[in-house]
Amino acid sequence: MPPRKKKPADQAELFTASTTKEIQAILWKAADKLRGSMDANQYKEFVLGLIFLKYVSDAFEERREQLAKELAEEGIAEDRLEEFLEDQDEYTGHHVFWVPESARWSSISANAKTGNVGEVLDQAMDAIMKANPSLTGVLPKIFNKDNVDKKRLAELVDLITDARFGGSDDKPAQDVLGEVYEYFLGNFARAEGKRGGEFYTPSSVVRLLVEVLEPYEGRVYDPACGSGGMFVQAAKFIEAHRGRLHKSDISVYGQELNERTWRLAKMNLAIHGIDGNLAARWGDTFADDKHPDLKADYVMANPPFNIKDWARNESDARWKYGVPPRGNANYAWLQHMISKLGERGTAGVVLANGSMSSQQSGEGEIRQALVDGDMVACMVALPAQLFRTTAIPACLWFLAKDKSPGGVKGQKAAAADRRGEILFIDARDMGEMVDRTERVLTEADLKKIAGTYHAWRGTTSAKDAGEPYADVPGFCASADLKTVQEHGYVLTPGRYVGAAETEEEDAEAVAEKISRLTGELYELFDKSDALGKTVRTQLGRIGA
Amino acid sequence: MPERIHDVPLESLVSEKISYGVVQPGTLEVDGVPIVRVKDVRGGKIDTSDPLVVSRDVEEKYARTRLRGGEVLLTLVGSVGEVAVASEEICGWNVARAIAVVRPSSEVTAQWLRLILSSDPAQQYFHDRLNTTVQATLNLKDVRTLPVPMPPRRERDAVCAVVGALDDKIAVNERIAATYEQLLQCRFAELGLGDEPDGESEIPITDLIAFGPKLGKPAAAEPVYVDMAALQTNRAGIPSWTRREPKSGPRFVNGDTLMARITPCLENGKTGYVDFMEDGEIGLGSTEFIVLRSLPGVPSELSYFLARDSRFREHAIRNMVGSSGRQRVSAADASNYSVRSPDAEQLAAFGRESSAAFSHMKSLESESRTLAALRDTLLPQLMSGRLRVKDAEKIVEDHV
Repeated sequence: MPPRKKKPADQAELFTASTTKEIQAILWKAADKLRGSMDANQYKEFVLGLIFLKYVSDAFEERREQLAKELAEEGIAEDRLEEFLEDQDEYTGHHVFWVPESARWSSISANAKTGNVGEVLDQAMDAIMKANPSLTGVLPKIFNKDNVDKKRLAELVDLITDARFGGSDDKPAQDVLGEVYEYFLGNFARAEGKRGGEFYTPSSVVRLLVEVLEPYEGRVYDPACGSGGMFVQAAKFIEAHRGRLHKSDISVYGQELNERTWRLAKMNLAIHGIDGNLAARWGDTFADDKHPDLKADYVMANPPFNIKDWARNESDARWKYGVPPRGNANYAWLQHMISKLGERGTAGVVLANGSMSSQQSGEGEIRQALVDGDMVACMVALPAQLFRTTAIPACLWFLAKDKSPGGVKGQKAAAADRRGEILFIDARDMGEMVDRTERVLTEADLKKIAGTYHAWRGTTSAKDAGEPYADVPGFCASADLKTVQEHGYVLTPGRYVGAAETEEEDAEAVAEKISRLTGELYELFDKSDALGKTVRTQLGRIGA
Repeated sequence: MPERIHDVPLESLVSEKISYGVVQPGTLEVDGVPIVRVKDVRGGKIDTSDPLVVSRDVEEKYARTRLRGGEVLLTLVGSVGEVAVASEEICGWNVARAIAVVRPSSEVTAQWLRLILSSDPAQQYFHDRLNTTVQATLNLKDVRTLPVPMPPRRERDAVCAVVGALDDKIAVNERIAATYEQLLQCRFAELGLGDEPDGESEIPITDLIAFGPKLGKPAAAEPVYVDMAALQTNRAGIPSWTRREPKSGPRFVNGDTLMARITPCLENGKTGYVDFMEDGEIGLGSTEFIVLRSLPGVPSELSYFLARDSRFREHAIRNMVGSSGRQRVSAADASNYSVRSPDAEQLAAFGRESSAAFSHMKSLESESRTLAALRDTLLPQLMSGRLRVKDAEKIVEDHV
């Protein structure tokens, strides 16, 4: 083993890294080295917990500095400063968590070197939770267990201490750390492989849902919220289109089954400054609906695909379109979400491709009822390999409570009347490979798909762009319910959009090609004949 | 009496140490260096149509295996033992970790080494030394020690000339088949079946072709069986088949077209034309085939070219369904397709031309099979000196 005195090279690089991207990549590499024999699933809690702690502390210090400046400007005497600086309301009123002295990063990193690092961290987590009721039960207290390698843990603390999250950029700590948190979530999802899909949806897919639904204001709900990626993207969308201060125009409701993932989501929302209601505990959306009276304006979800064992109650009021089969919860998710839609509510759902065409166990009848009930607005077939964690090809369902001209939430001008119609988009050829196994939808792809939807629906954003809707063979088609009936209620976009127009080779070109190929063929015949002779000669020369 | 031929280890016949290529290709690059992978080396040739491309920085680290043309490449992992000579065309390319680069010294030609490496004794030598714990893998150490027979130069050149003639003939047969395919695809295009139909002249494809037609049980105790691996992505010919006890699966006769209906075989274009059985004999195929049969009066080859037509294939791919990664199209959905009604006379002409071409291709294919068998039989004999090429000097002169 090489001596451990020197800091690893990666860590040294952190001092010179300038962009957030560089910081993320270097930090990930270094953190991954320290993982040792721990599996990614477990390690995730450690690293993300620490990043969260650092974020809370950095945000606190930032606010504290700002406060000191404000106080100085107001002419508060030096000796009274401390009194104001330690006033909790000055922090919580600014969406900053109150961090007791012992939990501030400066004291943690100092104590980590001398004392028992595990104990220091667990106590810090505890202190923060006590001081901030909204975090009760959220932060991980796992650092002081016997099976934790304290030496590696101390190195991890060192690593995070050195990373310049606050940053030379004009970004506040919150944004930088938020991005780091997300980047780590994504990388952990990859490291965990198949199971990683439970808490992570690729960001280009989430962005597509957001760009189509345009959740500017109102209630946003995700019944299988994982680490809360949908909410973060929704908040980002609002920030980009309406500005930072409008983030609170949406309120966020979520539910997650897995305890650890639920914690990750709580931290993820906090780190992004989103006030969300993820219920007091994790829980099963089917057996224990945490938001029974919610009427959401937007539902966005990537529920687990083709779940077999689920809490099925045949007389559940949610099964308005038919009781979903025991062996597959896809249609249970869809109907649960519909039951949560308020007036003019819309939903975007990621599901396995099979949901578009399955006929087994009554799924065909449920789909028929959904179509006949005019709940389906748009179907999108996605390209393969978007999800690193599963090979199952996926599609998007967009559901809408009201497809009439007045049915677009938050829009005063009349939209198009799309009652009795469904938009089909075949995006299977889109996206580009970022490496040999993973594909992402590009900025242009997102624009094209979302733009097509908005043009079809006649929303304000399409009118601004000035592009009227038109069917594009091979890409999109608007079909009426009769056409869908003729296709046996199969909703696979490929069936409706037809084939792309290929440039027709004109007769002249074909004729030319034929004469060229004929010429080549005759030359090959001659060559073949000559070679036949050569073979005869050569074989004739073989003897014992 | 033949002189005694001495074997020398392969490593003494190379100008640079035998080594393998890029270990970690890293991320995909558009503007980088193409590398040859195991799957690109087949039947003595290198497929240059779809190489992996790695970044220049990565490639730089493996400069020792950068190709200059004239190297012998040998696959080391998976389908071990494929051999090909790098042409000038791929000068500047590199190779993957699973491929060994053998640079012949001035003492020996690449052709000779290629013959030796692909000969039965060498293949057997490799096979005996394979590490098969996870994936069949050949160690470089065992490649370096391979004994190479070294008869005098003129004899080596004479053997290369004999075997080269057989290989050239096989290669030209293959090119004839490829040209026929392209030519007949053009003829098919002329019929107008590939174009979008317009109203009046529109007919359902089932007016011309039956999808999954009914057939009786095969009479033979062990009927012909064709599996998915036997279908090719760019040729009508079905190069291999077996016989086995009858199980369920689509049935076919001579003149039928077999088309894969499942991911990714359909997308890849696995399709074949059956012409190798006795007349009236019934064969069985994989359950993942759809059988296409031209109706009476329609050229049987038309079904094959329909199955290769891009508009029809897009239609079939669009109609694939399934909840798992294995999506498939049903015969019923595939046949739900319409075309422009072809002109009767033109259709008959297409039939005459394609049938002549197909029988020529069939004869070329069986000729190639015989040539390959002959080559594989002769080669070890010639290399070991048990068989000699008469007046070797003269042959070499002729050849040069």
